[in-house]
Amino acid sequence: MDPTRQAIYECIQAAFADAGLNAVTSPEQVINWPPIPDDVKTQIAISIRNCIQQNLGTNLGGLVGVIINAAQMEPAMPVKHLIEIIFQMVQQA
Amino acid sequence: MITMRGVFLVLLLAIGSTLAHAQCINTVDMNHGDVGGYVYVVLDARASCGQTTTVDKGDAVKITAGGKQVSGTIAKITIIDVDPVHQKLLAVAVGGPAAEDAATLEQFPNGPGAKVSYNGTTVDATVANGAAINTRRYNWAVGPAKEGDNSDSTTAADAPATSTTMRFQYDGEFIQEGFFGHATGKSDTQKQAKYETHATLSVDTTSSNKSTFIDNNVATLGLRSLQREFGGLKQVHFGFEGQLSKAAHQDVHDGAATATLSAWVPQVPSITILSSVPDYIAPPLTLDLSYGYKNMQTATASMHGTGGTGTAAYRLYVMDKYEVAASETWTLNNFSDRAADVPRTQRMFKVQISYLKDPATGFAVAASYEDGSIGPVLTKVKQYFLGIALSKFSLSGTSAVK
Repeated sequence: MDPTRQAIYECIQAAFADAGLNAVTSPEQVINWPPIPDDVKTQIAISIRNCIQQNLGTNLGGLVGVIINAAQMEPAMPVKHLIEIIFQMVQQA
Repeated sequence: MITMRGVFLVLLLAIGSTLAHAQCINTVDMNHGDVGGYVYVVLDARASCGQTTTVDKGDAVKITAGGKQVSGTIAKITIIDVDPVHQKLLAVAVGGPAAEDAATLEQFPNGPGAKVSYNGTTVDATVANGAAINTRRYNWAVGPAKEGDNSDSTTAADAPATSTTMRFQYDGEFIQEGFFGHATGKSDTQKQAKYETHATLSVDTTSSNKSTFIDNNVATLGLRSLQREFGGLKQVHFGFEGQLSKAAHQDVHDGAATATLSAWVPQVPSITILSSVPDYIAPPLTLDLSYGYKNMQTATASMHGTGGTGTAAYRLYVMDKYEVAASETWTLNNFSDRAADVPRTQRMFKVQISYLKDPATGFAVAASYEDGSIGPVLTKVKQYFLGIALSKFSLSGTSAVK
């Protein structure tokens, strides 16, 4: 994993732990979004956004909407897909 | 040679492909912390969604919901393509007349029902608004009343011209972050208040004492915590809600006061077993409790007493693609109108088994069992998975013959 993706992965790990979800230990794990309420998705997105701002210096405005939207397009989402979604946002920021 | 049957099949496939994603998913994201004064619109960019209009930087965008409206221009477009997720993220720099100010943005209602217009195209969207909706709204009306009229209207056409009875209507709502409206500060990470107060008042009565005239009046007052952590628990919410319906001219009332508590227990996480795939990520053991008092007096019935429910829910993932969602609900019924054959306390066990066929559609319910005792439910769950195991064994046997 390159340094940018690694930084995103670590932010995801911290955000999910902070929300009270399972420990994220592998990019292959699958997030089952439907049982996770929208306010928790929002909490996760804000936590990741703040972490990326701090570690990569990139402001990912719109990440809350992107994650809430993506959770409906891929309800059973591998962590690696979430990493890639955020990576594309970082690249275009 | 292309036959009619071939054309029909192609058409069926095309329709099926379109229906697979017939529902476009669009999201409006606003007021989630420091995002530089932008409102974000996430457009569904899947080809089957049909939103093919070209969206360019500098285009005008208008967003409407719940009678509120904001407009602006697209400052930036981000393309996200991680199959099956295909999105266009529009950063809309909000501008416009004075009516479209920060207060308007705060009052945009959460949920579906929003419309987003751009380049001559209007699409439906769901709003995710991070601001506490600090709302103070009211409507009132006075007009002639008509006997037996329970409609919302007070227009003169509804009442006889000679009516001397007047009808009074009031509908008000107050939503304010803080403890009964008093600010309690904001947590560092969530930019969110610790409490939210919600009150409503609805009056619909007349100047007549006759019971044939409308007389419906309801007041509610609620307080809920927005704090997320307490001790080792996560996603903690507790609250209180009171409701009173009272006729102004009759001794008829219906009142209730309820306390609620919900929390996640991360010390008991969801687990994945008997699987060759990595773990699923889902909520841990969740608890939901409510307890309250109710007192009702109508022309035909009366009751009072206490009651409540408590639910513990847990998820387990097995055999690669099966989700087992189990819950136990306790119900306390201490109401005075409880029938003699209804027990004071009851328990209900429920297990729902879902199967993941396609990540783009998620888990779909395959079976659901419930009973007052856990034994029969567990027996049915065991039988279900025994059947699955036998069918897999049978399939592999067929394969071996080949």
